[in-house]
Amino acid sequence: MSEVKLTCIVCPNGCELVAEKCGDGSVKVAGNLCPKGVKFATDELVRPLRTFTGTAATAFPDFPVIAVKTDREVPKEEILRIAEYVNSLCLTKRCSPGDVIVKDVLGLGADLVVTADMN
Amino acid sequence: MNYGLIVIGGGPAGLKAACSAAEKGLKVLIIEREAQLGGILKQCVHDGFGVIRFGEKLTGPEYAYRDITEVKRLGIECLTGTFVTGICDKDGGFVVETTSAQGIRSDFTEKIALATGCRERTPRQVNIHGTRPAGVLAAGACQNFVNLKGLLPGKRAVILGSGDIGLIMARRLTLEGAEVIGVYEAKATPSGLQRNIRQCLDDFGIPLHLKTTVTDVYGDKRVEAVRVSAVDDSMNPVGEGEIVECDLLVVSVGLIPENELAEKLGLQTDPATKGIAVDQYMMSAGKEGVYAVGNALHVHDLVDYVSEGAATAGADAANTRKRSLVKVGAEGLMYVVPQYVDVSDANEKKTFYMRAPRDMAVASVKLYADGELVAERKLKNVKPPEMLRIQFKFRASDSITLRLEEEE
Repeated sequence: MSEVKLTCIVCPNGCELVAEKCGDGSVKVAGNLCPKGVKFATDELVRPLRTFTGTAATAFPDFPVIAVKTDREVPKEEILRIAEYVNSLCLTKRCSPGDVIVKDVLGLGADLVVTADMN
Repeated sequence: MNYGLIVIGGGPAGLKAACSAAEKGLKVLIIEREAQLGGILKQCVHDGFGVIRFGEKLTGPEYAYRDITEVKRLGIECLTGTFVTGICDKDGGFVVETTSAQGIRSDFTEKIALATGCRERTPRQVNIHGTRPAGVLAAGACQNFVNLKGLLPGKRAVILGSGDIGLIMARRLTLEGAEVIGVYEAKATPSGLQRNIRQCLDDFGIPLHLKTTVTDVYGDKRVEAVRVSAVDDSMNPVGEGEIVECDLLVVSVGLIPENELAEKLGLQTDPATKGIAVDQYMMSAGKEGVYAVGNALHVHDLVDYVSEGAATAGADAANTRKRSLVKVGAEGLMYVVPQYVDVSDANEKKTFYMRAPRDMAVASVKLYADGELVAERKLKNVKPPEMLRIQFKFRASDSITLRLEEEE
């Protein structure tokens, strides 16, 4: 398989990576300043992952919406489906950062947590 | 009331400056014009904040929450919904006048930290012709509508300028169900970080058109279309361009430090940063006792370094220094902060923040003291959107110059 050029999105270094999938299924990575780059590039070639961040509506006039995220990475191709689901929610309880509002969102293994403070 | 330090602005810079001054025993007051602390981080619901400072990827509100929790723990007094209407010198300190729903108020402080952030360059500042219908928004204003007010300002968006907020909003609008037709950038290289182009545009198949700009806006009450045209190397449109139908034009064309209060104090701004000139403790070179921190000092790309600079300023507010300032020469650089170094200071380690004027594959930053090369740092993949932060250890000297050189 040919080389793929990637930009690592894990940290502000933003390393320019060159990744190549080998015959045995392993991934060869160059250009990374740290091991996180290897994991990122491997995931990108095998099964890209992202953290969903967005907002959910609330019932409180002082917070029409509140910031939310998945507490871990989820498959990239599910991000739009999560966004659509989150846009159907309406919170009726005031929350603080870290409060779980949906467990195992869409069965993807990640919880949806609030990241801003309404209290 | 009397304070040791009044911090104007309750965003990440103000919060950290306040905490670090309070930890040194100063009586601190934070003045914030909005109803809540947190500043612009409140509306930055995406993640990527805090990797350097906390070793974790936080969202903007989570990052702010950590500092706000610390402000509360330290018992720092905060006035929210309060606007500073005047600052003047008095008895070696300052009088700060404010207004709020509670009325007007006047406080004395020995020192001031300006943490007022920055403003967005407006659509009108980039010479777009045509009518002025609804639906033309600066990227940060669009972010405020979507992320704090829960409103979607358009269904079919064109983004002008490849600044980070524009890229972040391209993704946000997509996630909220809008169609983002493309990002148009007049320059030959993007203004935003490469990793934002990857995760905000490429992930969603949003095209980035370089050397292309919006030349006309069409629509009566509401934007109906824009004209996009290729530009030549001197940024002049060439050819007739193309009409793109849209109901939202998001403009992400840069940020300018907010310095109205610095001007009230008679402080000059550095034309390169558009913030005031400071020493290595972020204290104004022109006026003792006045600090500038965060985006009010110079526009940062990482909040982690906003907090770092603010911590330096806050801790210094508890000190008394007899300053002896030397101007820092900057060669081959867009700017350097600090612009001055207090050479009477015994601490040899000094942190410099700077930006390169153009992309360089390999470069080095050289520090000259009294004409002699005293330190050098090699750098790879230098880009203007990514601020360089370099710490040098050196002894006091009569002349200091930083020089960025491209290498083969």
